[in-house]
Amino acid sequence: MGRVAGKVALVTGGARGQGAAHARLLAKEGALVVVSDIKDAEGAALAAELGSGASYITLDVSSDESWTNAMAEIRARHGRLDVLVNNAGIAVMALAADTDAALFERTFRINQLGAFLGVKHAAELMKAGGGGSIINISSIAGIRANPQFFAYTCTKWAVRGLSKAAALELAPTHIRVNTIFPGIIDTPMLTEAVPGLNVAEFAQTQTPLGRVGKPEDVASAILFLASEESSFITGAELAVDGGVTA
Amino acid sequence: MGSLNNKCAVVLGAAGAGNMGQTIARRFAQEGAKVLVTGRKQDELQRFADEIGGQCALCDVTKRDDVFALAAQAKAKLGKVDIGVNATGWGLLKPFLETTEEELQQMTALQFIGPFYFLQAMIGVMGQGGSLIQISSATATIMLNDHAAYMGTKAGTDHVVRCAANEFGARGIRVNSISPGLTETPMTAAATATPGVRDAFLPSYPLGRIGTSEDIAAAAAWLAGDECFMTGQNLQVNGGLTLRRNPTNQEITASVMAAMGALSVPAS
Repeated sequence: MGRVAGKVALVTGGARGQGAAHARLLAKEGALVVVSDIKDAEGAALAAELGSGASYITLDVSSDESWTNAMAEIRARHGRLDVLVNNAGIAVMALAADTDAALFERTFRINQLGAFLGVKHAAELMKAGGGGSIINISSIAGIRANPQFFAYTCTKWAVRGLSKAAALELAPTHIRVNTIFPGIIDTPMLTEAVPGLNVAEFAQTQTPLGRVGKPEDVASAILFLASEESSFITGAELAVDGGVTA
Repeated sequence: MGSLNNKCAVVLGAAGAGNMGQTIARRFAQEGAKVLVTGRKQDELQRFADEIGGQCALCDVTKRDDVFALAAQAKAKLGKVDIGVNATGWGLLKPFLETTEEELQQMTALQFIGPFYFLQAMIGVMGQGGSLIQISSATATIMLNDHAAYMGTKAGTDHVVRCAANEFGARGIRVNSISPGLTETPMTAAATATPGVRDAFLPSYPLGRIGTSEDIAAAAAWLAGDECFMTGQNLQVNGGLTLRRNPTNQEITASVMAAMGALSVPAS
């Protein structure tokens, strides 16, 4: 019996990296996983790999309309939603001096507006099912500012506040809202953001546990927060960072 | 197949029937761990160890020699130590200005020096890898009237937890704390049984109930397992309490008075 058996779980940005790890683990533990992304080919391939319980939908988290369509599809297919992993995000390396309005706005729309729209739309469907668990992904940059990633840092701090306010608003409807702060994790997003970075070596010097984080490390925390094991945890913050921000 | 198969765990503060330490120890045993329960009451420890198929040893956390002897015994009895939990503590209720030197010494010994030695002793017998878990309190973060000695020592130990996490991460040893709020335990039974007290606290809990030891044990089981990449953190397992505030003394008193009024026979 899986730890999230029968739960319907939506993972945004699920086609690759951390999102794919979350989708894999949730599916392994019995969830009916809806992988969503704008990378259709990779997302659909992952859903196919996860078996008949899983599916893929196109979801641009920065679009209100895209969320409306995604929720309609999930409602039609499953009639409910139990878990939302607000994982989609972008990170562009740029100081404030080098960040133009367009970059800031794009980062805002995906990382912050996207998380808000996810909470808003998912909560509506979760309420109908009597509750659920929303997991927002911030970053260690949401605990300790990283000036090299100015817009990213701003939006990841916003996700913290969004999570806590939503936790208070949604608690009476038995929807829990928590935040995870991944540390230095070996994913395409990081290596694409910082070309030439030796991730393993960098992480080793920065992380008290002495190793780079794996997407599976974050997935374990996702599974815990998605399951009934954490039924008394809401508004909480979990830094899954090997001690970087301890 | 449990999540803690082949793990050996020490749970300190498990000598009280039905307390948080026992609930954690039972959960660890269910997850497949070999468990050594420890505390100050031999009879209850033995009874409980038999119940969960574990072992037991006496230890008073306020005595340094006891804590280091416990570590040696744990190594001898279990063969190795992968997990250590300190669930000792006492919620001393005392107004700030009335807290005596003796009480400060006791609370410091119990909730700061003892946990410090526990970490030292456990790290001393642990190899590469492992998980140490300190039971803290939501009041290490948010206020509760008349508990300064309790809260100050809990908060101090949370910081020691971070120090240990930073220092021993290189050995793969993770160190975290868990912050329950008001939880159904023998320690809080007298308070929560007083009419009106529970009602005074409930509005502070977004999830609409106070906690259970099982809530804490589930979080401890996750922190204890190898899948967890968290270290140096303080996990809030309190239904969202720290998003709000505890009731003030005036609010608690008013709630108790109201409950007592409701219990009395109405005047005809």
